[in-house]
Amino acid sequence: MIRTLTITILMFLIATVSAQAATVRAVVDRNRVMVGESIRLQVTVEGGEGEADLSGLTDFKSVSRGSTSSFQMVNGRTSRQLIHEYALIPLKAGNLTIPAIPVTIDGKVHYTTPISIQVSEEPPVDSGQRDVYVTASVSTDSPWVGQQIIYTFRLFNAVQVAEAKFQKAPAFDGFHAEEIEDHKTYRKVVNGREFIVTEVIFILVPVKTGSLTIEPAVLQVGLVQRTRRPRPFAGMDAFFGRTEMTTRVLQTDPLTVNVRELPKGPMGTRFSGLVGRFDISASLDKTDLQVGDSTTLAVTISGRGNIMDAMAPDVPAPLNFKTYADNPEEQIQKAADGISGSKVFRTALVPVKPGEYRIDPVSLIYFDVDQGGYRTLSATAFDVHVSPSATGATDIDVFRGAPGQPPSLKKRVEFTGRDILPIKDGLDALEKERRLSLLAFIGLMAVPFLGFVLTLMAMRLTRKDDSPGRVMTDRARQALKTAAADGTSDADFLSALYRAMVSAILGRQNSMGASLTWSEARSGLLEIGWDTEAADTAARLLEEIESFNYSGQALDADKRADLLDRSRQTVRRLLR
Amino acid sequence: MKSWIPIAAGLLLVFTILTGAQATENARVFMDGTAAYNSGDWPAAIKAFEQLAAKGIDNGRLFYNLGNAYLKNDDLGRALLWYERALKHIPEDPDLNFNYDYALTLTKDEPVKQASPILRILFFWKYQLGADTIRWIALGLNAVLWVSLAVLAIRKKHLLRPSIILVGAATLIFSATAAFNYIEAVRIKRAIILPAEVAVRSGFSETATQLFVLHAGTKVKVERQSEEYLLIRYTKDKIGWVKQVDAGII
Repeated sequence: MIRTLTITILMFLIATVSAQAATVRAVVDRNRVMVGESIRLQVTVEGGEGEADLSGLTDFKSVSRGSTSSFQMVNGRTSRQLIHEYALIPLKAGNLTIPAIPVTIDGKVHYTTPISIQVSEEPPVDSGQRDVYVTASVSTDSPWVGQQIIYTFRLFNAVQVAEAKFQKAPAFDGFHAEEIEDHKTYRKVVNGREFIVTEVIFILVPVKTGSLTIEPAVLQVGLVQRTRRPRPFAGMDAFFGRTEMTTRVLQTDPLTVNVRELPKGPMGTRFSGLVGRFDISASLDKTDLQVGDSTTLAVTISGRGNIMDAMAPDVPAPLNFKTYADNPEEQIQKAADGISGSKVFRTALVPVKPGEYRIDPVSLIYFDVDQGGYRTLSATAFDVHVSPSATGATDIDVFRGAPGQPPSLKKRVEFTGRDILPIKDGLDALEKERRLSLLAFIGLMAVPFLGFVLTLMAMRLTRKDDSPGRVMTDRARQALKTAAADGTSDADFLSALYRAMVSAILGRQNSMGASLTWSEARSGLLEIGWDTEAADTAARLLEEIESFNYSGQALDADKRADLLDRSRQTVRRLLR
Repeated sequence: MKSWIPIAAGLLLVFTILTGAQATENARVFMDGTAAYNSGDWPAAIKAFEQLAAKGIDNGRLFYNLGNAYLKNDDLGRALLWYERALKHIPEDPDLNFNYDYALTLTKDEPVKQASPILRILFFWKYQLGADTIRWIALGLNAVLWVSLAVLAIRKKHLLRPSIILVGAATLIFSATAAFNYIEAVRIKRAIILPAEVAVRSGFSETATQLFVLHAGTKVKVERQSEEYLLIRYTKDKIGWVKQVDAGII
């Protein structure tokens, strides 16, 4: 019942909604703004579903803020509302128009009413009248090529900023750029108004000469402000602190940097490629050596500028020294004032002949940005005394780097020439190599199996039959042999005959035992198929043997022979 | 009555003399080939070694020498063909592997992997061990298995059972691999492209459409064989006909 009622109501609602004519309208939260401020635009669709086409908004940048839908029932009539919300950011000042926005509903295009927006210029940045703005500057606008300069992007905000992201990050065409990850934040008063300033710093090194333009950086920020829209119970906002988020797009001015070309370097010298302000020093850990000993020359280049590009300087080692360069060790810091640090180049020096030597100073030619010219620096020279080796060795080689340093002189071995290895000249190259054919393989696989089968067969053949019948049969035969043996006493003779008879009868029955009565023997023989007469005869023979045995009566030779003969015949018949 | 004994002895002597003479002749040709190679006369070395191979001497070292001689003579296709043949006999020879790898660097066509990486991992023993090694391992394991079973039957040592199950599993794996290798050797034929450049065509005539071009030393699979042509497959999607003289079957 309830289910039927629900379906009926729903069908009624659907029919009512679909019967309505679709309407669209657009409203903004304000129509006077400054450049960079955002306007909230709502496109409301009633009585249908459709997406607003904002491609005609050329004077504004639009950002979708999502959609909401709702059912309304007024005076018994229901309607559905679909609200699309956008943030519009004017791109220029002047009297701008939000044109009629087309919305397609069920294949039919509906238009909103155009809205006029007055966009005024922003006040100057240093007026303190803006709530939020950005600036960009460079430390010098006429650097030398290779000279590092500092690009500083600053966000000033006097109101709360909820989120900020680069819509268009600064593009540094013609520069090598590195961002300093630590962003600096501080407070600054501008024309009597306090702003929070956030600095983003990039170190730029121009890689080409001429006039280079740093394009504007565009930052999108979300501002948390008190709501401007009229709403019921607005007086309660002060109590509940109602705020809303507005989007602003902020843009820096483009910057122009004139990069100067470096003048020609001094003739006959080798420019190190360093531009900035640098120093050089050198140290030698031992000056008194033996032939074959190693001493380490450490050359340190330090300063501010492109220190990471510093190449290993030429080490003016005497001819009788072997040199082994180690991997450079560098310590580089990137800070708001640029790149600085030091690079240490260690070289192991190994004298191969005794004598007095002088290691000339290591020199460095760099471009000094303060002086605007090349400077040549020299480290200390060293005098080295080399005495003969204690071992008298003359051919010295070194495989180890500077003392205390990991062995880093090893290199990946590369081919210095390519050729093939020689032919094989042994006469075994003429021997036919016998390969195992499939047939031979199968045969060899079968051999162990056949061996296994033969083993099983042999086991079966040699296995003893330990069944009761077999045991009793063997016992009967053995007893007959004992009875037939010469010199056997009468008692032993009779016991053996009795045992032979009993064993033979029980053996046929496949059972074990040592004695039988007359009746047991007879019935046993009948069971195995003997006729009554034969069974009686055999049973009587057994009884006769037993009676001789227990009576102790002496047996003559004829009687012994008779008993033996009859017993043998009976046993043989039984064992057949 | 015993007259057959001198006749048999005579025949044996003649056979021995003939065999010995043959061996001496082969040794002389081989030494000539070696000397020619060492003096840089590669064509003479090739001639000598080919003469021995034509006599049916099936030896990996001889094939290796032929590969070397052809490589020195700038005939990459035939060099790789003989190296491939040598690999069937002496797959673990370090000299052969070094020279083979070097020759492969001279080929122009991208080598095609013969088996997927997953197969190479799953059946690693097949790809890591030579066919002969697998055969002998299978034979050894088979012998151990049946001997163990016989011991179990005689001595009733039940403790042996887990070991026997393991040996049985290994025997099965290696025997199956050996059997697969035999079938593969018979059923799957591969060839090496011999000339510097060969047009692979859609049919067996010179006017058939050229489908693609292969270069000396490229290894291909032989799908079919006609009187003068071979249907070869380079990759899954590249198949066509080449003249038999342009591809040497390994």
